[in-house]
Amino acid sequence: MNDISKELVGASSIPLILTILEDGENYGYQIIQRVKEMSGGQIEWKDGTLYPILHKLEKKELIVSFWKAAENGRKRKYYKLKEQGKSALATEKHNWLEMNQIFMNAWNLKPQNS
Amino acid sequence: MSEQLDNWRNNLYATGNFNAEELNELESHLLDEMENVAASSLTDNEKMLVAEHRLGSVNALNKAYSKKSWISQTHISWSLQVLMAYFILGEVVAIMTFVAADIIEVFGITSSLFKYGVSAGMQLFGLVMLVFFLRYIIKRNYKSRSLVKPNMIMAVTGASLFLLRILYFVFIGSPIIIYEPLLVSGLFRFIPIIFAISAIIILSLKAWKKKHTQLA
Repeated sequence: MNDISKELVGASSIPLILTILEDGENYGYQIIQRVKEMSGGQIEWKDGTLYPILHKLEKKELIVSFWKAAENGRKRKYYKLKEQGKSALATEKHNWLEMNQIFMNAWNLKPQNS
Repeated sequence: MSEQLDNWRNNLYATGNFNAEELNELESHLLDEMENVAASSLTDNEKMLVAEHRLGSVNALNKAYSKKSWISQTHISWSLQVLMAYFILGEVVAIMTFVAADIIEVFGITSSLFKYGVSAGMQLFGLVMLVFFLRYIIKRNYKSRSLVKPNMIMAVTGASLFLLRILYFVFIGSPIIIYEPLLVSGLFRFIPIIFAISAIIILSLKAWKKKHTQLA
């Protein structure tokens, strides 16, 4: 399987992050692990690039951050989805499914039932 | 181990694109990654190398972070601190020159050449102090792990020195006032203003360039 292009990985990063945060608050390191799991290792982010995206989403008020101490006393910065983030995710879902449908039609493919 | 961590933070900080909170977050990520590097045959330092590699190099991180804002908070904070250092030292040197001039008068020396000499000596002292001051600022910024940098202390010190100088001038007076502003204050006031203006111009140009290369 070919690697997914850099542009496509970049475009999908925001919906992926929002999707992961929909399951509950989370911190950067764990979010990256979840992306690796979800994509079966197909999407490899250079870890450091996640944080600027998180900060951008926070600035847009889609998510909110706070520091929380773990059991071992170490502090981690958690991110949580806001109401605005939920509606942004709904829009993203709609757009990606729409795009998927366009290609399905264009290439005469039948949706796979999994 | 903590020394290696400090070095890593300092390298990132030196790029001017990271504030203390962002560094704390990246450090927390690095520590998480290190815990995940399970191989027990590795030392802490070796684990850190692996974690560092996975997180991305200083260059890569810098590139990723520099996209997020068009002007660096860290650079502004630095400019302000250096500006205040100049201000405080300018005041210290001015007060010392006033006092020195009055003391000279008391001893009955009226030679203006001598006064110029004393004034020049004070400025030299000020410049030496400035070097130490800048070293202190750099050290404090690099080591800082707190989220808020206490610029307040410097602001209050500068303002009280300024007040002291005015009080001294009003109540004790000094004949040196005629040429003092040209020498001491002149030098110390103009440098920070030029510094601040050029910092703003350089930062704006940098930001403008970045914005346009990103669009291209």
